[in-house]
Formats: sequence, structure tokens, C-alpha cells
Amino acid sequence: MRPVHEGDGDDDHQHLDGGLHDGLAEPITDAGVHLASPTPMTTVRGQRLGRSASEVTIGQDVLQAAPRTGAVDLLRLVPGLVASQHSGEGKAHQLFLRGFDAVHGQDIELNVAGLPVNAVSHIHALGYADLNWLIPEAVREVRVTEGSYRAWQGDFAVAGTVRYELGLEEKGVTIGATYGSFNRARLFAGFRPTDAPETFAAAELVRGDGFGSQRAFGRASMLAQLVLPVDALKVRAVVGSTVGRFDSPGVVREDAFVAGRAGFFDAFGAFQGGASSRHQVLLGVDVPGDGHKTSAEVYGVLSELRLANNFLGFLRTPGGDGLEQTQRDGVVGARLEHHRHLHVLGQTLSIDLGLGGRRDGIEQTQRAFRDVDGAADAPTIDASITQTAITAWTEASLAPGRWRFMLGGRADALGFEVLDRVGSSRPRRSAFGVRFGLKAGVERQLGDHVRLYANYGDGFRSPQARQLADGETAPFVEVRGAELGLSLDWARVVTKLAAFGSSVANDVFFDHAVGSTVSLGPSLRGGVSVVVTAKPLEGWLVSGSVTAATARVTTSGALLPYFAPLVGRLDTSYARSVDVWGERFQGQVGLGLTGIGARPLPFGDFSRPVGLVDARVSVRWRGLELVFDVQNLFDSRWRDGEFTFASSWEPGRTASLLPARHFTAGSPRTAFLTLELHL
Amino acid sequence: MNRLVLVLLFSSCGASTDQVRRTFPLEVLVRAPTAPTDSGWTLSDVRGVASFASVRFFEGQVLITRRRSPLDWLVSTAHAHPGHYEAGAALGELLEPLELNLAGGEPATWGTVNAVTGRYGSVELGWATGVRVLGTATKGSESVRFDTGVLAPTKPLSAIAFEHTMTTAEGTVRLELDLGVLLSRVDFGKTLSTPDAQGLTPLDRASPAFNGFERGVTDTTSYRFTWQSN
Amino acid sequence: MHRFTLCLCAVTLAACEPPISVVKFTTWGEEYIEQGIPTKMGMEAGFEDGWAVTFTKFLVILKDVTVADGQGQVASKQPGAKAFDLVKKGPVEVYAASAPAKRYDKVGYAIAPDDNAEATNIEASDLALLKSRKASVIVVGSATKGGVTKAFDWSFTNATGYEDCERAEMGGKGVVLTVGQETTVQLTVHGDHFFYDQLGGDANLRFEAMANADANGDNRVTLDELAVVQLTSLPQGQYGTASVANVRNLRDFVTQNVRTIGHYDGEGECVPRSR
Repeated sequence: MRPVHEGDGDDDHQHLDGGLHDGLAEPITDAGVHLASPTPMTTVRGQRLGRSASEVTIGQDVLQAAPRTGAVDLLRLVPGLVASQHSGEGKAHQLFLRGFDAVHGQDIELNVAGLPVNAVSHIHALGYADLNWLIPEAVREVRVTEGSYRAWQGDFAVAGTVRYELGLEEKGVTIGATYGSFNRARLFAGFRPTDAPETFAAAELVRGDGFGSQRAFGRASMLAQLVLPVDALKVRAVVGSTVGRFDSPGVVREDAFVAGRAGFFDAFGAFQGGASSRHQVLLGVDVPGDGHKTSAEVYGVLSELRLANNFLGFLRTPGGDGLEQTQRDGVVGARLEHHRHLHVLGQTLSIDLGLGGRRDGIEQTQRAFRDVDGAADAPTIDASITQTAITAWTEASLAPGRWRFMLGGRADALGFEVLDRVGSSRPRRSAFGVRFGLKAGVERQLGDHVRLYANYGDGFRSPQARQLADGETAPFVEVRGAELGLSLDWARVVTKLAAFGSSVANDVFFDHAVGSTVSLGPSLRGGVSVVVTAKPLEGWLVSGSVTAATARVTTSGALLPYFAPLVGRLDTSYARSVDVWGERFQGQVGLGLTGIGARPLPFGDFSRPVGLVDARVSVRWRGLELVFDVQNLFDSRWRDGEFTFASSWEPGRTASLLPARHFTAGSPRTAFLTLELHL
Repeated sequence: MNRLVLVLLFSSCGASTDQVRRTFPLEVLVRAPTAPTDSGWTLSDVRGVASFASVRFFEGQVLITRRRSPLDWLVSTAHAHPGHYEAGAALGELLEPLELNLAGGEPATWGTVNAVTGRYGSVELGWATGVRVLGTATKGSESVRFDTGVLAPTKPLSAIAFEHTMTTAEGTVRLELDLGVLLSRVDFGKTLSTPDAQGLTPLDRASPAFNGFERGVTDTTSYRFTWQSN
Repeated sequence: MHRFTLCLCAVTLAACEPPISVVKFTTWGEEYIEQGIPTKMGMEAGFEDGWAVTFTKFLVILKDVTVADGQGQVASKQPGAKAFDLVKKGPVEVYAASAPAKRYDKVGYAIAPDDNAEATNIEASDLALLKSRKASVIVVGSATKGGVTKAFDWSFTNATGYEDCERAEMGGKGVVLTVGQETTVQLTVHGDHFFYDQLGGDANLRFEAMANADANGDNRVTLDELAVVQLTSLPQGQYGTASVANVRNLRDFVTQNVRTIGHYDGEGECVPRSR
């Protein structure tokens, strides 16, 4: 059970691309902005006032309400978001949000304390966002900005942006050991020297056999953050390293499972899996002034991935259709942000300005490998890419009376330099492109408890560099989104309602299981979401969300494949202290419920709906804490990922070549016991 | 391997959003020869059996020049690229064998094809045991009772043209095996064989007659696929 | 002008039509047509059966060069038709198209007869020959093996459209016009295709059957002589007709092969369709 940490109020100035982490528990309140009653914000966690009804902060109490085995489990608390794993514990998850199949991150901008997570022009999938390295105990809160209505939202913020803020909840030293199902073992150590949660160091070592064949994995990570006042300045540093390897079972053919030729947790295809590493550093400084604040950050990330998969079996080649991909990415970047208040005609005009630059140096390869012995062929892709992004954005807001008007804009320039060593008559190519985006919002406070929002924003996704021709004006995938929202905070309950819609001018469907890309033309998405967070009684927390969405090709009206039409999530926990024989025991029980509606698949298929229940029981006595976690409490046999494509796993036999259902098995019931020592 | 890379990187034939699954019946009709062969032989009493293992429908259109993979481009010498057909994605299949009586008659049902909607371009016929044809060829006063066949062909008959946009509309695909086309190249005066005890003349495998027969069997225009709307 | 356009974009924050750029289409018969097709030697491609071919004329009419976007919206189309002799040193310009600088997925052209074709690098007499024979392609040359030389002078009236052209590399569909740069695309003609021994599947270059078609022994192989050679008289495994109907003799076969000579930027391919 975690100590309660109070909320941060209307801390709206912690941004992502072009926006800076401002020193955490030191909110800046815009002068002239009428804030809702602060009462709920100090008693109810998991909410914040933002510039739309879809800006939500998920705090520690919600994060700790139910079992979370990794940072991706925290991502699953984002309203409407589905994270699916189809290649073992080490590959980035497939993400779905607001009618988008974000594949491995192409439509969701992810960021950890200022460190970008999405990889540009990734060999496996655009925006590849691996969060496996992030130690969940080091996450202080998750800031969610769905839609693309804010000017600081950058590349891949098509469906939204999620930013993790770092911090360790408890002062002192924490040591934890976990053991549970399928030989999953984990050691955690954390250290927080001061009362401020944001300065900490943490490390984890985790390994396991996995819940079926070819699912073993191992990983070690360290992560530390230092926030240090230096005179009037605030200096922040983040460092982290991780390394891991993982096996992958591939996908199971549904017909083989139904016919009894394959087990639910079987592996299809040998030599699948991979290895990854990531090393990162960020340095930042906040310079406060009279009515203004300036912040600067520089960061660097080195990451490597080797990924081997065979989803097609022997469909294309007798030796097997295995594909090994490698990516080595070196990122350096910088951000500058200036926040200022001006007095105009008796009103306070709040202005934010941001500048950013980022350079990615990428080496990537792709080659086929044989299923029999794993022998690899000569590379079919061997490329070096330098991708540079220069960004400028601004937001200006005026808040007369109970209104607030926001107008913003963003410009992004992208430069690409590609060296394609295989199969190109023009191996050296360069491309350049510029885009502009508009952001706007109107808010109206009604009484003390209700706030209305109307938002508009243009979002974008950068292209895959290797697909650009020399001299081509780099095309962006552009999204135009709008939203009407309402927030209601009353009687220890915060409710947020949003109706959203977006259009993509030139949408593509990238089926990364088979590597095919289908141009869809324009597409439309829309939906509604409800987020409720409440503390009905002292110690009792309820946090839930339901999101319904649809996504269609504009011209044909056909449903887009794979998106999640209905996603529900409920986390609830009850904590209280009991005195026994003069000793104080703190106990907590928690439940996490997940519901995912049937997802449309290609060829008119639909996936099965998913319902899962997780449970947590913990008790703490002095510095000793025992936590018992059960995920998938009722041992539901569920399919984490479902796909429709052609494969052939019976070489030499007359097998079907038609698109077939495949699935990746979801985890069965798993139980873990954790013993933590707090010193 | 090259082809794998090609498909993985470029294919636009992957799952599409507005395609749906469907089934349709496949019927087979044998067309008896109605005209003399190229060399003037008139055919009668043609019969026999063709044994197929499967039929698959693909999106690739016949006469589409082959798309080449980057590795092809890299390792092959200039102009060494033949071929005019790439099957592409499978859109339909019937994996039940068929023993087709070549004596002809009314259309026979082969079975139900499991399929998806989309633009169809070609068909592949998989052989089981092959084809055997018997009959009588007459030219003037000369008459040859022939008996020949191709047993267990190793390669399926691919790139049979079938261009049709398959929707969910009801209908049937018909395969017409045209024995006239299949036997049109056979010069029964050049069999290099003598009749056996039953008076049947086999076609020597080295003979021009068998050459013509084999070309007829592998000539994909001997097999016509058409869509018959209900 | 371009600067103004960019500024306008910046001011309005709106999508703007990109500035106009130029794509120049050229044609080339490569070394095979200019210098000849050798005998296969080791890994070096060439005739399987010991023959070698040189061309003295390779006359071709190119027309209807079309640049369109992915939705089929035509940005530029070549007016009229032009005739070329590809034995002469190339590449030679066919058509320069102007269009907004962006990606065009659909590029095509045609090799077809045209009574109004204009001369380019071609002799006036050769242009007249094309027109008088109603031909799209005329090839004149000879094949040699040992001390034997067989001449040929073949005319073809095929009209073939080459659609949806792609370069032989990743992302090679159509053409990308770039701001401030003139893009060059080559409509490459492959002279060796006349001698392919398969209409489908893997093919080899052969001339032996054609040489043997010289029935009158005058060392000139005519299309009429090729028409006498039934494919059934040739070894099994050679001159397979695959899915092409009514190909019975060598003239039919070589006439069918003509449809595949049009290519795109070297080894790139197009979808050939009869017109």
C-alpha cells in the first residue's frame, strides 16, 4: 500500500515535444483563469483540469489499485486504450486508441519525463514505442492528453499523447522481491533521499519462463532522476539504462487450435524473439522570472532492437518466411519553452512558446531467416537514415470571466537523409517537408462544478524515411480532430464526458503481421468517452472509464480493421489501517476490471470480446509489506491479439492459402507474491 | 526468398477493409471438340478422366509483368528476367479432389469454394493423378483410336485467366474444359506408335503428336473460368 | 513564385498546391539494342544456344505518355506520337511533362502504330516505313553462330499500352516530381524479349528454332517462315504459351513477345494491355 500523495491541481504546463517538465509539484496557475473548486482535486486522485475534457492525470492511488507488472499495465489505465502483446515480453505492444490502430505507436505519442519513446522511421513499425524498460514503481503519474488539441503535442500525437512522470512514492530505501507463476521472479530496489518524490534511483531485475513455450524473457533496468534547486533555478537530470532479451511464440492459427492440432499456448515458428537495449539521459533547467518562466532540456537516447518473427509460416518460401529486423537509433534533442503572462485590456493573456529540435541517426536491416535452423539470408534492407525534426509552437489563451479562449499553432519541419545499401538505383536520397497545424479551444465554467470544452486540433505522423524519393516533399499523415467535452466535479466525484471525431486525409492500413500496406484514402473516426473518478468513502477509490469509438473508410463506409470499438476499465481499491496489539497494520484490497468489445478484423471477421479481472491484496506492518497479486483472476482463456491474414504452417501439404484467423494467447491466471522492505 | 521480401514490403494485396468472406459453387463442364484439329483431324467419342486436387483463385492478373524484388535487381544480370505473372494473394480455394469424366454432358458440381470478395485475376488448377484422354481421330480415310495421358504432372496449371470483381452477389463459377483446344495441336498422323492389342494407339512421348497433346494440356486457354450470375 | 507560394502557405496555415515541376521522359534500347545481344557466357546473360544478335534498325513509336496521381487524375499527357530508332545512341527525349511537384502513382505509355508520328532521331525513310507498314515496331538485324549469319526484318502492328509502371526498387511506383528539380524517367525498351522461349514462367534466350525456320536457305528469316514452324515441332519445354491463346507457331510467339518489350527506368515493369 502506498502513502497518499496529494494532487497537483491545475498544473497544465508539463508538456511533451516542445513542452517541459516544470519541476513537478510546483503548479503554475494562469492568472485570470477561473479554476474549478479545488476541493475535488485535493481529495480525488487521477484527475486534473486541462484544456479539454480528455486531459486526465492518473495518480499513484489509481496506479496502485490493482496489479501492474510493467509500465504498459499503467498505460492500460488510459481511457479507451488497449495494449496488446503479440511477440513476447520485450517487444513494444500494439496500441489502440480512439478508433486508431496505432500499431506499435504510430498514432500515440509516448514520453517519459521528457524522454521521447516513439522511434521515427522504425524498421518494424512507424513510431515504435517500447515501454518495457520503464520501472513501474518509478512512475509517479501518467498524464493523458487524448486527441491532438494542444500545440505542444508533436509527432505521432494522432490519437493522443501519454506522458509518464517519474518519482518514487516513499522516502528512503525500498527493496522488493517477487516470485510467482511461471517462474517469474523480480528484484526491485529504489532509493529516494528527500521528501520530494521526484529525486530517486531505482533498478529492477526480472525474468520468467512465460506462460507457454517460447515465452521466456529476462530484463534489467535502472532509472534515476535528480531534481535540484540551484538558487532560483531548478535543475533536473534523468538517466536510465536497460537491456533484455525475449522469446516469442508467434501466432496460433485458429483453425489448427479448433481442430486440436495446436494448443492454445503453443508456439508457431522457431527462432522468434529478440533483444533490446536502451540508454538515455536528460538534462533540464527551469529559469523562473516575474510573471514568466523559461525552461530548457537536452536529451539523448541510444536504443537497439533485434526482432525475429515468422507470422506467415511457409506461405512464401519453402524454408519458412521468418524475418529478422534490426534497428539501432541514436537520438539527440533539445527543447526550449517560455511561458509568460501579459496584461491586455485588463485581461491576462497567457502565452506559451516552444521550440524543439531532434536528430535521429538510424541503422536498420532486414533479412529473411529459415525456420529449420535460423540461418539468415543476405539483407534485403540495409539502410542508414538521418532524420531531423525542427519544431516551433505557440499557444495563447485569454480567460475573460468564466470563459477561456485558446488559439495555437504548430510548425514542423522534417529533413531526411537516407542511404539505402540494397536494391535502390538511387541509394542516397534526401527529402524535406514542412507542415502547419492549428489548435483552438473554448472553455466555459458553469457554476462551481461544471466546465464545458470545445476543442479543435491538427495532428500528424511523420513518414517512413526509406519510402521517400529523392527530393520528395515529405508527406505527413494529417489528422484533423475536434471534441466537445464536459467535466463535472461534485461531491467527491469527478466525471469527464467527451464526444470526439477526427478525419485523416490519406489513411493507410499497415498490416504489420504480414508487412502489407493498403492505401485507404480518407477515413473518419468518432466516439464518446466517460471517465469517472471518485472517493465515495474514506479509503475507497473508484476510477473507471468507458470509451466507444468507430472508424470507417470515408468512401466505402467499411469499418477499419483492428480498432477497439468499446473499451471499459474499472479500478477500485479500499485501504484502511487497523491497530492490532498496539501495532498499526495498513491493508488494501483492489480490483481491476477490463472489458474490450469485439474488434473488427479484415474480411468481415470480428474478434472475441475480452473480460478480465485482476485483484490485489496487501498488508503493511511498519517497513514490511506483503503484496499478493492475481491477474486474470478467473483464468479466462482470452486472445490478446487476433489477426486475419494468410499463412501456411504445413509445408508440403495442401493447405489453405486464404486469409485465416490467428491469435496470440492472453496470459492465463497468474499469481505473484511480493515482499517489500521499506527502510 | 526474394519473393517473400517483395510481398512483405510492397504488397498491396494484404487484408483490405471492405473485403468479406463468402462462398460460391464451382461447376465443371466438359466441351467436346466441335472442329477439326490444326492438322485436320476430326475427333469423335472423346472420353477419359481428368483428376484434379484443388483449385485456387488469385488476385494476380495474367499478363501482368512480374514485379521484381530489390534482390532480383541486385543479383541478376541485366535482362535475365522472364515471366509475366505473379499470383499474388489467394482469394478463393476448393481443396477437394475431382475426378472429372471427360465424356461431357451437363455441368457437374465440383464443390463450394471458400473465398473472399475482391478483384480476381487468375486461377490455379492443382493436379491429382493427371489426365487421360481416349477417342477416335479421323482424317479422310485414316482413323486413329488414340489413348494418351499425362500422369502426375509436377506443376499445377497456374495463370489461368479469370478476371472478375467478386462481390457478395449470388452466382456460380464455371470451369469449362475445352477438349477442342486441348487436342487441337495433336497431329494423329505423327504418333510414332502402332496400335496395341485393343486397337488403341498410344502417343509416343517423343512424338510430335504427344508434344501437341502436352502443350494442349498445359495451355491454360483449355480451361475457361467464367462467372455465371444467378 | 515558389517563395511566394511558400509564404502564402505559412500565412494561411493551409495546404497549398505544390509548385510546378518537370519530368522528362526519355527512351533507350540499352546496350542490347545499340550494340547487340551476346551469347551466354558463364554468369553473363545471353543466348543459350550459341547465337548472338545485332540490330541495324530498331524502330519504335511511343505515344500517350501519361502522368496521373493515385486516384487516376491525369496531370499531363503526351500529345501525338514520336518515332525512334533505338539503335542510335540514346537515351533520347520523348516528352517533357509539367505538373505540380508531388508523387504520381500512375505512369504509363504506349507502343502503337500512328500515322501521324513525328520523327525524332529516325531517318525519314524509316518513319515512312513504319507508317507504310502500319507498324509500331520494326526490327532489322542479324543473328550469328559460328560462320552462319541469319538476317531478319520483322514488322509488328501490335498496339500495347504499358500501364501502372514501377521502377525495380522499393517504392518505385510511378514518379515523384520534386521542387526545383527536373526528374528524368526512362521508357526502356528491352530488345532481347523477342527471343524469349516462354510466354510465362522462366524463359531463356534462343534463336536456334528461328534460324532453322529459314526454309529457303537464303539466310534471311522472315515472319512468314516463322509462321510455318509449329510449336509442336519444337522440343517440349521450349516455347511454352502459358495463358496466351492461339499461339501456334513461331510468328505468333514472337508477335506475342513484342508486347513485353516496354519497360520503365531500366528493369522496371509496367502492366501491358492490348489496345
